[in-house]
Amino acid sequence: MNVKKQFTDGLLTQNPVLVQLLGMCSTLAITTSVMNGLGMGVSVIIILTLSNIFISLLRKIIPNEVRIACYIIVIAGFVTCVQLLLKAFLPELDKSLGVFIPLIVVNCIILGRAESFASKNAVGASALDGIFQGLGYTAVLLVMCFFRELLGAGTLLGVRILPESYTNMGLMTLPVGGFLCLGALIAAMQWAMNRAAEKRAAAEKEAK
Amino acid sequence: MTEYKELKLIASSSPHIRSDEDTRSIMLDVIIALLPALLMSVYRFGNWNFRALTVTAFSAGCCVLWEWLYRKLMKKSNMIGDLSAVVTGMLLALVCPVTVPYWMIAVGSFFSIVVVKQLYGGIGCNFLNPALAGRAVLVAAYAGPMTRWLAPEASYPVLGSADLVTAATPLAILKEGGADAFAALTQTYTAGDLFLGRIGGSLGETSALMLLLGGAYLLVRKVISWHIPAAYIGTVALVSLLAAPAGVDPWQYVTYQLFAGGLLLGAIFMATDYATSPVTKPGQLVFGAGCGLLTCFIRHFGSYPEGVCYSILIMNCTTWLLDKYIRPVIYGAPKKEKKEAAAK
Amino acid sequence: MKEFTARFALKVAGTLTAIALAVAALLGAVNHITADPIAARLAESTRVALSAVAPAGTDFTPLELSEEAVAAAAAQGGTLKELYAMSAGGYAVKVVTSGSQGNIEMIVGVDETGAITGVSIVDNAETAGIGSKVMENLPNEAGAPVLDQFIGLSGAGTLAVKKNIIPVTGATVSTRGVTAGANAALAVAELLG
Repeated sequence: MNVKKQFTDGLLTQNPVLVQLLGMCSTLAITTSVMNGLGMGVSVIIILTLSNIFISLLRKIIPNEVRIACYIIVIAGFVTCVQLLLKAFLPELDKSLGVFIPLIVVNCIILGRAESFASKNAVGASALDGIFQGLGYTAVLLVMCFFRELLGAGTLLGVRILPESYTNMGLMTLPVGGFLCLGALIAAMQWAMNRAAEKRAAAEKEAK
Repeated sequence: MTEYKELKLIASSSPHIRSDEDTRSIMLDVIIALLPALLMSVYRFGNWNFRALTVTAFSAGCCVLWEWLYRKLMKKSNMIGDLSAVVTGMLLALVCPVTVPYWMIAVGSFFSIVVVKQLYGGIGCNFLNPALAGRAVLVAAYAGPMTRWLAPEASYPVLGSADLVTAATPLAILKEGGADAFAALTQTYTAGDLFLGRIGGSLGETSALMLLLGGAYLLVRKVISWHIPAAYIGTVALVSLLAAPAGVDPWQYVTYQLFAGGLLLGAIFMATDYATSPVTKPGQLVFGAGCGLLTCFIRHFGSYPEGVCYSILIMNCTTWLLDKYIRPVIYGAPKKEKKEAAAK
Repeated sequence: MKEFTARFALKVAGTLTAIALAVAALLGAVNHITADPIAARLAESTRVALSAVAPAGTDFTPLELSEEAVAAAAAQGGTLKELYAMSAGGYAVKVVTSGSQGNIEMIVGVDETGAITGVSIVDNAETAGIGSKVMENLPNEAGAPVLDQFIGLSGAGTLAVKKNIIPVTGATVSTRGVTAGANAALAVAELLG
């Protein structure tokens, strides 16, 4: 079990959104305010960790032929739990996240991790994988929310940050702002990864 | 040009014709062609109050500055001398309302130059018209200020802002639909008003006469060919003729559809942009007709009164397709071989 | 590929059933905790939206939607969602119409004389900064709150933007959506008498 590698994988080198390009739909849709991002991020961390744990526990029992069906049942169960809890105790957040909470069921990150990690690894590693991949997703959400809420509404977490004279850039809270923001982030990530790879190559050359 | 490693030599089949035109002289022609429309807007919006001029100059300056800064920071060769940034800046200003705040122009020109033009590799490599993309972003970002039209002959200070006398654009009146709306339009604005720019609208779109003058100059100087503007304007005319509401003189309806709004500005100066329109003549005809159809659809069915900007941007995205399937004809080859060559 | 035997089928079906049952049990437990708070929240949010269109102290009784009422609303361009009788007389009507960017869901109060007592927007997707001005009841072209101008008007189908309804600058389509909803609500109230 390599905790450090799992951590950097989840947040950077195998970031679910920026590198694996999973879960883009919800990323684009709900990142209009930091509160939304936090709510969605925490929901996904909880669901992803729980589903990873359970699927890892059941990995020897689940027959290969119906594994996807089993994963979906487990995931859908947890998603519905989270949705009911949100509806009951955080109705405002539930309203602004709207259909994207139930859609976590088909969020590729969860099913993807179940298939590619939890079904092959022990419970502890799977739980950590869920937490770190969830954190990577949440981190991207928060960065996007930061820019979109700040520029689009002049606020952060609903608190006015920019002066009243600032004209809200409505574009940023529209879907198009989400695409622009995500595109810029992916480009920056690619640039940083290419740079790191070049440096590593150069260092190896010198070492020889 | 220093990016030699990316430089591909593209040679068409002979004969090769040597031309003295370079980017700079083409851009200079475009600037000259834009001057009549610009002058008219300076006159119309505020009776020689120079807001129209300062906005345009500021926009051109911003574009040049962004281009210079980007290429400097990225350690690329600087080519601001080719005047293409100046043209982008002028066009961006001409599609904004005269009351647009200066900082908004700075934001829009950043998008036009840095995001749309330079990130895709600089002049000739962008796939969208930079000025229109800048406007589209501004409209999406600041919908309110970008759709507040100063009434012609009303005044607006060069610096700062003021309460303004707004006027509905002709197309906004038409948007109400039906013969009633058209009757209201003909009462508000005469065809002469459209021709001489005595209407609400963006800086450069108001005077049909001045735009046609500029277009004629570009045609005479062979900077643009007639294919795209003719196909574009012709399609809009044809569709309008067929779609004129009952109880309206169709020819009069066509006149208003052609001369109101940004059609002439778009067809002459935007859709003809070399980098974002097809190379071949048949391709250009298809491109123009596509722009025309989309414009009519948006005006007719969309929730916006005007669709020139989005139509051209959408057709920009099809340019690669048109270039792929409508190939250049090889000069001098017999007909059959031409077909085979094109099929390759 | 394994050979398909009864044993194998039983194993697959059994595992799937067992997992489904376990998840169902978990859901039942969570539902048991959350059912009451959710019902309370829903009732509360409807009450807030309803009380915005009627005088304070009005009670609302939900009514069945008749086919005629649904058709009357549809004829004016609105989809009837919910219907309440107000204790002070008249009806509160929840309708959905289309705005410029998506659906507008609103509640319109109509008193026993057939005049509108208030319009309250429940949900919308209008453009921030333009259509949203209509939704937030900001001033129209004449400087008066745009939703308040509906109060006191009557006559299904007689309300029209630029005739007796003044839109917000640049948001004619959004204003038109709300007007359609008001017309639909009036039509429903007229039908019920």
